Amino acid sequence: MAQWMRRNQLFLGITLWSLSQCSSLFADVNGTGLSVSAAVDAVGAFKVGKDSKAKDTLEVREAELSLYAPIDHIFDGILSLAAHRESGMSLFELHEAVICSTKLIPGMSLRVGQYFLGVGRLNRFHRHDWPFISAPKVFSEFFGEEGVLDTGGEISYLVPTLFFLDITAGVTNGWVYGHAHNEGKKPKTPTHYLRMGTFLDPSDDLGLALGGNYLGRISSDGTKTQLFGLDGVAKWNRKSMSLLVQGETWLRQLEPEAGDEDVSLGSYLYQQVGFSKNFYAGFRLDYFTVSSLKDATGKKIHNAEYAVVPTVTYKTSEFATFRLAYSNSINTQEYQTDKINQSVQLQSIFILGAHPTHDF
Amino acid sequence: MIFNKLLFLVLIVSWARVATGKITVLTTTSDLKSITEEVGGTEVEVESFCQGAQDPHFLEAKPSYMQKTNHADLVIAIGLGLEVGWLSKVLSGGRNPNVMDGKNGYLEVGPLVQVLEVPKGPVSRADGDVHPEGNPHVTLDPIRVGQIGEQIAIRLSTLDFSHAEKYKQNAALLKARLENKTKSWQQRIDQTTLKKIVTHHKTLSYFFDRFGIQNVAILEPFPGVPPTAPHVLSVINTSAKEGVKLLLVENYFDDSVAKRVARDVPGVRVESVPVSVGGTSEIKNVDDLFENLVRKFESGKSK
Repeated sequence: MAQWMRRNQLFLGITLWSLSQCSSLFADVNGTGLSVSAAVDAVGAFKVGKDSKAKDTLEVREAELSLYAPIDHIFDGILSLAAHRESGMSLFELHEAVICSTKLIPGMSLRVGQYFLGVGRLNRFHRHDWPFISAPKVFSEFFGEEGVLDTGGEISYLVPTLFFLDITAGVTNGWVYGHAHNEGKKPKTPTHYLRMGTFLDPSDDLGLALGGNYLGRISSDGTKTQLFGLDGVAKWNRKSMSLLVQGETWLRQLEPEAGDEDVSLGSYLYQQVGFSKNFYAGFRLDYFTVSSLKDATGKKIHNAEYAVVPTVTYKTSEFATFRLAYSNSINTQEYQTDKINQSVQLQSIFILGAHPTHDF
Repeated sequence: MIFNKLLFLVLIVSWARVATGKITVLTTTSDLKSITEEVGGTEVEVESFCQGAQDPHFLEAKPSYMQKTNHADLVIAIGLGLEVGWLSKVLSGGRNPNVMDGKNGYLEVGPLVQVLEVPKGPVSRADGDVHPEGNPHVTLDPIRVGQIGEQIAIRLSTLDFSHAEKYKQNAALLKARLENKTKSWQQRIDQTTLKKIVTHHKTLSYFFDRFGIQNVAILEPFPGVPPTAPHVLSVINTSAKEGVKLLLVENYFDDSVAKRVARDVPGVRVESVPVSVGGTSEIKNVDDLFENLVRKFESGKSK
């Protein structure tokens, strides 16, 4: 723990030093293309009902400092450090440290370093850029609360067809998977993943992006993990009105070297209406089940967790966001009493400095 | 078998592109598309990301734009921060090294003409969505459009020297025609005696500057920030005090707030106006765009 804290203090020191250099050299920043940004994401979760698991606190969930700039005429670099609230302290850790290029080979982009893996929808976006506060159950189960980041390499190829077809493939160390504060163990097969994305453009105001995903890994103890997923997002904008429909469905197979296979399936679907550039109202439906769950006799136990999460968003600009959500989840399992977890969530996000443009 | 079919499709697409022999140009706005089509004539194929009734500040970086960028020979943008929210993502997503910033295949025309409303002193987001490089709506002045045409001709000549003379002549014709029409448009606007206008956003600054019109109030309290009740009240007061007779709302904004102002200021006419080529089906080129704006003045002239 002490070593971990020392390491985090070192990260913080480097960050503050970097920022101090940036501000003192701000006149030169324009000449280097260096952009600096900070995103602060504060979240509160409050109990509704006696069985609620909410902590009744408001805390800074994440404060992320990012530097990005062209390194030279071929490569760009991204460095982001994030402080998370863990064990009562906000400690900095490395989020992304990537060298990347879209200029090296026509039609191809690549990145090497530590980054969020390019699979699915939510995992490709920083949490403060999500359209809702908390991770859907399927995402937190399969990718963690924030997403899977790891160190490795990723290439992406834009296939030269009349329609958009992008193929992304990557391999990362896979010593750990998801959020971890230890080195992990060398896996038998490193984390590897593939995403094929396409886009439909039926009108100027409307767009639909779809992706098919695979992620695999065999851990040091021989457990084979395979994830298969579909993701989609549709956006419609006209004048100040907007619509957003976003969803993901994932199937996970865990095959230990000895023992039964674990198969889980989950989805979420989020729909949001934007009444102006300030006000948005959305509604998320979550579903998750462990389809391989069996009793001692080998008989399947039906189980599912459902959640409904209505969310209201107010933005004074793209740099300041306030959200209010009500989460009601019901966990049902044969032969057991339903477990209900209700909470009210609050969120405020603000962004200082430059903010990179977003993917569709 | 499927692989063979895919390969065949890729080859057909690639062949079709080579066979046209034209310069493939992508523009960020429909005004730039219109100018480029006139300058490039039959030697270019032009598409615009932003359509006439869309706000170029807030376009989504659609993957379909990236796919088009991947095949483009030239991307023409306004610059001056207009496309800052989406174009860099489109260019990097297109993964076409020839049209990246700094290459011959990328041209920003805004900085090549005289720019208005360049902030003096430091700016911050407390001032709203201010463009530190100045107002980017440069294609709403017919004289600057002529100058932009010349710059596009120079860049097309760099990419296709064999038709350089043709590009130069086309740009000269465009410039001369717009200069002549500007004199006529000036006379017609002067006859309306409408010199004080309210708009939703500072989109028409270049048009107003050219024709000697004062933009006495803006419905947005700060650039890019939707109207607020206290600010609308101040616009009502200013409009009444200044004797404003015409309120122009760029047609990609909702005109309900403008109509609210008109209810409280006697004699004010609200007009929803296209501010880009293709903003309505009748606006087919830059001439139509300016002609339509002048007609809005004539139809709303004071009596």
